[in-house]
Parts: sequence; C-alpha cells; structure tokens
Amino acid sequence: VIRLIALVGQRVRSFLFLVGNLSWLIGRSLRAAWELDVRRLKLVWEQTVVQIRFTGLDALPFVLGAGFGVGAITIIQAYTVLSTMAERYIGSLLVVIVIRELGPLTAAVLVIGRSCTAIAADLGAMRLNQEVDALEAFGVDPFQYLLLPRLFGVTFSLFALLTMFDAAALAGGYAVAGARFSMPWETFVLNIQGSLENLDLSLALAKSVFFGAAISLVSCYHGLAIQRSQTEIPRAVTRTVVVSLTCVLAIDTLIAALVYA
Amino acid sequence: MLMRICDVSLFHGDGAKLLHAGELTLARGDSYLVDGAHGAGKTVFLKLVAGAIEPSRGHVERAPGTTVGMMFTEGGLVSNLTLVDNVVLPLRFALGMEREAAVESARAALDGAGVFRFAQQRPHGVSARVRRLVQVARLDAMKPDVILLDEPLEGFGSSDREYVRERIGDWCEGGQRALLVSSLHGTDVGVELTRLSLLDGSLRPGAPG
Repeated sequence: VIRLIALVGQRVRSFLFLVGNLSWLIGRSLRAAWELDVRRLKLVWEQTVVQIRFTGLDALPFVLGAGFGVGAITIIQAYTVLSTMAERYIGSLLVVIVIRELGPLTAAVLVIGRSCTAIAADLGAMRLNQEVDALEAFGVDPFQYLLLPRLFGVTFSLFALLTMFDAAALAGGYAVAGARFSMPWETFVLNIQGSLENLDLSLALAKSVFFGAAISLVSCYHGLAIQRSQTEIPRAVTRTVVVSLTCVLAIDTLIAALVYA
Repeated sequence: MLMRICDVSLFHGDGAKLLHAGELTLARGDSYLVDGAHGAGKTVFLKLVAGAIEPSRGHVERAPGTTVGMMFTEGGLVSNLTLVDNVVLPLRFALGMEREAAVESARAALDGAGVFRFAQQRPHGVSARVRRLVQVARLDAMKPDVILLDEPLEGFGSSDREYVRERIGDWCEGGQRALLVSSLHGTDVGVELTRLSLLDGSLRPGAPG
C-alpha cells in the first residue's frame, strides 16, 4: 500500500513539476516576445518563415490528402448507415464530424507527428552540441531566437493547415457524394451552408491556435530540457508526443464542454 | 568594470558542490588564465561567466551594454546555419548590425582565418579544425568586450596556433577588452595572463598545487 501511495505521489509530483515548468515557459516566452525590438524581430521573423515552410508548406500535400480522405470516408460511411436519408444529413455530418472535431484533431496529430517530434529532437541536439550555450554566451536570447519562431511558426502553420484540411475534406465529401450518389453541386453547397454556423468555423480556427501554441511549447520544453546524453533525445521525443496529445485532447474536451455541452 | 563574479556556486542535483568562485572582477585590460586538471570545471566556469549556466548561488553582474563572446572546445556553432551565418548571427542580434554590414564583416573575418571557401557550408560539413577557426573568426568579427576562450589552441597545428595567438594579441592590444582563458597546462597564448586555478571545485589565485 505504501509503495502504491509512493508511486501515485511520484506521478502527481512529476505532473505538477511539468505544469510548473510549462507555466514558467509560457511566462518566459511572453517576456521574450515583449522584449523584442525591431532589429531582433527581423531575425525572429526570418526563423519563423523557415519554421512555417517546414511545418506548414512541406506538410501541405500530406494534409490535403488526409483531409480529402477523411471527407470521403465520412460520406461513404454516412451512406452505408443512412442510405437515402444521407443526402439530407451530409452538411450536418461534415460540419459536426469534420469541421468541428476531426479537422482540428487530425491536423494537430499530423503536426505533432511530423513537426513537433522534429523540434524536440532538433533542440535536444542543439543543447548537447553546445549550440544553445553559444547563443546565450553571444547575447542571442534562445527564447527569442529558438522558441518564439517555433511557437509562431507552428501556431500559424496549424491554423493554415486546418483551413486547407477542411477545404480538402469538403472536396472529398463532394467527390463521393457527386460521383457515387449523383448529388448535384448546388445541393451539396446548400446543405453545407445550412449546417455551417460562424461559431463552428470560429471555434475550429480558435482550437487550431490553442493546439498550435500548446504543442509547440511542449516540444520546445522537452527539447530544451535535454542536458547530458544522446539517449535523452528519443525519450524527449516520446514525451513530446504523449504530452502534446494529452494537451490537445484536454483543450478539445474543455472547449466542447464549455460551448456545446 | 565589465563583469563581476559575486561568490558564485554551482551544485549537482544531489546537492554536491561542483564549483565555487569568490569575488572576481573583469575590467578592460584584464587577462586571466583558468588552470586546472581535466574535469576540474574550467568549461563550466567559463559558461557561468558567459551566462549560459545559471549559478545555484551568487550571481554574475554585467555592466549594461557589455558584449561577451566565447570559443568552445567542441560544438558552439548553430548546425542549421551556414558558417557565414554563424558569424553573422551575433553581429545582428547582439550588436544590431544590418545584414549587409554583418555579412561583410563576417566574410572578412572568415577570410582572415583562411576558411572563407567554406563560408556556405554547414558546421557538420567541415572538419573540426575549420569549425574552431570559424569560432575564432566569429570572435574576430564581433570583438566583444569580454572574450572567453576554452582551450583556444587545442586541436590546432603550429601555423593555426600562431594565427590564434596573433588574434588574441590583437584583441588584447590597448587594453580594450577583458580576456578569460581556460587551459589544461597553462598553454602560452601569446599574452601575459594572471593565473587562477580550479582545485577541488574552488577557484583560487595562483597555479594549481
């Protein structure tokens, strides 16, 4: 029993330690952003563009394909269950399933798997190679030069990827509805328009911003926390994935509970 | 006064003392050699002075506007930047130079170090010797107020050693800068240095032993 209590205590302590450190990192990032002057902003912007290219632009074909697939699958499954009634519910299904929930979640999962793991590994390697020490020694604030571009880059990219994902999902949905079930384009558009409310779209986009900020901070935290050896890198990457997914699901649940429940 | 190290201590996670340094002031014209055995904490001490490591106790004061630069024994160059951009980065970030002027200075410094032809390569694409020379060029382009050199002659042949000694001599000329050099055997770096030693984790004046 004492062992069990000790184990639970250890887990709770680790969790509180992580929450404390992430809170500190949020505060430190805000301070770094506040202290940016014009000339440093230029450098941070250059790095942000590099991050957007990697996280957003390079992932675009993958995200478009995934979005198209998710939209198509949703409509195929809808027809198998609802048969002829499906036509009436296509708009609601795509809005509720894809735009409200699957879009932000899938885009976040893709970015976590593709970019956040790379960020954690990259920052970890930079730590071990004394690159972060060198930046600090030369008066280059690593929070401004390394963290802010990743934070802005990932957040903006996730926002942009989500809009692309949703557009591709609608295209995928129409491709199936039109080709397989002969639904006219006008009917499809009217269906979507009738179901899509401003709140759905705004919330989905807001989610992408919250998800982006959370997962970029988590990946930077785990990358920069590496101290001594190469073996810490794969562990940091695994932790990045687990904690990022947990954060995304927690934020999603909180928003769903506050807005839709 | 450029910097003041005020009773600084560093402890391991388990509470064991790693390093302690009492009062040390770095003013323009000061040149110190930190001597000590392998693992004595020379590099850690330099990183502490550079601000790359937070002390567990005490603090390092830096006069406003003081610029610092450091030469590392290994690593120390940003791996996703080209060598020229590695030199350009502190010039733009810490000194606020425009990109064109910074690139010009960086190219001149790389040329001086004889590594200009590698300017567009990334650190992992060149030899350790070239990487170390790029670090010398970075200091040469920036000419910071406080220069920290971790084993500056390590891994160099005789002609490179002569070049590095010459640069160190130039940096110290006229007493414009403060210099802090770490060395295993008190290697001659071409300028007169006040000797400090790291023994049992404590920084003391004089030679070890």
